[in-house]
Amino acid sequence: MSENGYWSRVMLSRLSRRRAIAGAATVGAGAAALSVIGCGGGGDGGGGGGGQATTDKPQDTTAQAKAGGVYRIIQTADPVNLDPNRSTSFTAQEVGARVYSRLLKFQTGPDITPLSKTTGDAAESFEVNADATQWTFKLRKGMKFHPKGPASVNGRDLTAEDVKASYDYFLERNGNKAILVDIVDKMETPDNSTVVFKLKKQYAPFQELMASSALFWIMSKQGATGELDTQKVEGVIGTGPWILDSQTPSVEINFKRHPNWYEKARISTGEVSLPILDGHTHVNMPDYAQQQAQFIAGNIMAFAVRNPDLADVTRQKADAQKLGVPPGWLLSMFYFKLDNPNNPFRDERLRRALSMAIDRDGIIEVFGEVSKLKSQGFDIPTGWNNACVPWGDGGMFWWLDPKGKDIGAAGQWYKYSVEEAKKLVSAAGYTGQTFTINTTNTIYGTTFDNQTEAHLPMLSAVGFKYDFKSEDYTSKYFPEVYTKFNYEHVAYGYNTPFATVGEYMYRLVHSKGDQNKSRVNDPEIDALVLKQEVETDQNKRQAIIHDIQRKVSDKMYYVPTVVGRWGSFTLFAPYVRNFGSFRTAAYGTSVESYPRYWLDRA
Amino acid sequence: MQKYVARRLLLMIPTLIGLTLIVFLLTRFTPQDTVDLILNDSAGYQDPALKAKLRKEFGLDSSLPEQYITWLGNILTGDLGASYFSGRPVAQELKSRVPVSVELGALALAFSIAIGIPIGVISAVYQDRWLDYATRGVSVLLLAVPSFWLALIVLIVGSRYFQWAPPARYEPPWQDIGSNLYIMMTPVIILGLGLAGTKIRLMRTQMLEVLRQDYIRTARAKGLTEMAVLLRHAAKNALIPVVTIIGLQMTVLVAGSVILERIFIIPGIGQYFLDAAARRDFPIVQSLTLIIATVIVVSNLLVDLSYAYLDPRVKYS
Repeated sequence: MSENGYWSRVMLSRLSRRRAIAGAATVGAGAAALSVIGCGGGGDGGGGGGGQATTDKPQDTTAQAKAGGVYRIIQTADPVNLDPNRSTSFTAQEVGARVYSRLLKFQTGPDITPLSKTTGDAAESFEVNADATQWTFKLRKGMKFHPKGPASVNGRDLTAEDVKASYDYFLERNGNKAILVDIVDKMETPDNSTVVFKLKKQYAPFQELMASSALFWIMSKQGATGELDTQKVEGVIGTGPWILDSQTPSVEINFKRHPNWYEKARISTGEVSLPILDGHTHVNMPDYAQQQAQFIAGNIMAFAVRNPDLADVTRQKADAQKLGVPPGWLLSMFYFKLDNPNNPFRDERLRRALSMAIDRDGIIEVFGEVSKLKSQGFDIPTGWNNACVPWGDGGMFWWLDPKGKDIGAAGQWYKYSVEEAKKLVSAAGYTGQTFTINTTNTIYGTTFDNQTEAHLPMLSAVGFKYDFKSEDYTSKYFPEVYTKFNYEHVAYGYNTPFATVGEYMYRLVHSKGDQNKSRVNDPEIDALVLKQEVETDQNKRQAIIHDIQRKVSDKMYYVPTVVGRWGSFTLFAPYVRNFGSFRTAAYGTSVESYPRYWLDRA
Repeated sequence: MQKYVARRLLLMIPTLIGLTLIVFLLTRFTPQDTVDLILNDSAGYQDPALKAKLRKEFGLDSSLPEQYITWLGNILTGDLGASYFSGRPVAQELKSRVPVSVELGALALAFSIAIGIPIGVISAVYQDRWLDYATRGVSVLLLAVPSFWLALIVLIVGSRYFQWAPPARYEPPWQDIGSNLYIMMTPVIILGLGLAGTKIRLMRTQMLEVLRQDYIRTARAKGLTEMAVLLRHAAKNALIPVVTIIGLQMTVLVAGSVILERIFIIPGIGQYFLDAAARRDFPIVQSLTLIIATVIVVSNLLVDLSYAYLDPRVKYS
């Protein structure tokens, strides 16, 4: 899951340890942001999103596969809890994703854009009523629990009662439930193989939430009601492709294949049930030097290399396979206290000027060392965030390129032009009043801090005068600035990545959005946000979402920066197969990718 | 002697109680709420009912004095609590982790003694000759080089030039002693080398002083072999300050093992402590701090008592 950029890995692994996010994977969208979080705990490149991946061998080789073997990779942190319905930590979610099922999951394959299509997981099919307020899921027949644990669970079929108990347990114990609490009125189980969600409002992309690899996980009724201790290895019993076999805290966690998992494939020896591998082991390796050494020594099969080390490591490990992908979905931005009547940035010309003052390509070039890497033969993908949807792996379907022609007239505000910015500053009547910029320098690491500071001379160059306040994240920035919007004029930082594009729309730019940090209050945008929520046609919904991006960009309610907007490479041992062909994002890699991985060696 | 030991043991009680209070208050006054960290609520969304429920489960809804007294009471009955995050009992975790850290620490200490003291003696015996200069140089180097840096060098050099890396697994000694020692070898050597630097320097200095004493001349005059003079008469006396240093190095040992356990995938208390501190997992942080402090206090007492053995002039009353 660590196909994402190093910057994102570092920054988000820090971020995620504090605030793993709510939400779900979306069709063609943002679960890639989660994949970054996920990659904090993994050393694999199985995830990914809609960006153009650079791979050595991106073919589907399943037909030649040989069954067996244990895939040995890195996890950067021990699971803090083995129960993903109880803990929102990315480490717990990763364990959950391997062991438990969702109602739906995302399709993967060489020709499928990651996160673009949902398919059945525990549910074989679903129906939705005309106004998208009632969603009925039919459970898969013969969906078996793992062959372990007490007789009440061991190898039995999954029932609707299990799903209901898991959902109730999730609502009772999980901090990631915001989006479902907001949308779902109730869940019913009319019979033992049917689950019905009745929504409070029309919500067309509900299937994306049910395919999310960061929401609720289906356990047994016994697990969800406390009969099993789901925080212990013996109590972790699901219907997913992997059985939690053992754990040595601080060392490794081992999974073996679920022999009765539903998905099948034809390999060299005929049709088999997936997974192809016998198991996978995640070795606890928080230290980067250790990861690199172990990969070169051949003890680990995948390694998310840092860009500056790419040439060196690939020279030492010449037979390593490479998978290069864009970074995860992450928005870094200046935001504005627009409900402060004394804030000069209520004038959109100043916001536009601020945007035009930023040399985005310059920042990417300097910090991403793109030209240097290109000269070494590594074509690193780069891109710009727009004002409300980040560029990055998994989000490409929805993202509108600020440099492209589809952004329309708003594109002019993204162009780097000190002269034009100065004109706007002057036209807005700004005469050098000092404004405050609140940010933090205590959590995202020096790479973020350095890139943040690189913006300051650019602002000065167009005549802005500011008081730059870098504050402690834990005691000041997060609780006050980020959460309660207690700042005076301008703030700067990351936006906790959302999993669905719908969240970027509603939570960030709708007037009632809980993450509306700029206090945007634009009736036109509000109407569009609600319109996309009830649009069931994916292309039409995309068009509305593009429209919102154009409008938010034109007003520059958020001024996006390009911190960490360049890709990175994951290296694989020469015998690992299918890693580039079944890419997904978020925590879904274990279910959507790993079952088709295989090891091409004696 | 017994009286002295009893007095020292009694003195340990207020020391440890004071320590429990400091640790308890420090953990409680760290910024950010543990329950917030557990829930990882997305910004803007809070579930007060769930928070209240967790607070009650963890006993965080009572007053600080109540929490402190409850914790102290539990400790006295051997209940170290359970991790807020994983739900696993701290005592159970420690049962598997403490022996690992003790093994790492003991082996590293033994290694540092095994190389530090003989080299110190040799350095003194060959004072101002090339061997002395070489050992002095090495000891200064060992003092100056942090163990984590040495660990990185081992990893980088090993993988770059020999395609080798330390084993990325752990095996307890009771399962396979050979495998266990192979796994422990690298961190033990690195940690031990760091500790040996001080011992080499100190042993050399002490030996030089002792070797000039009259009783050494007397011993030689009696016709004792040089080896007997050095080991039986000189080294034993020179050891007193070295033993003191060994006691003081317990803290260095604990700190060093935290980093090395992390780098070399050793499932000891170091990594556990580090993770718990970052998460504000109070039961773990409090219990471990108390245990580490007790070990240090006890080891210092043992050091003090060893003086009586090493130097007959030392009498405790």
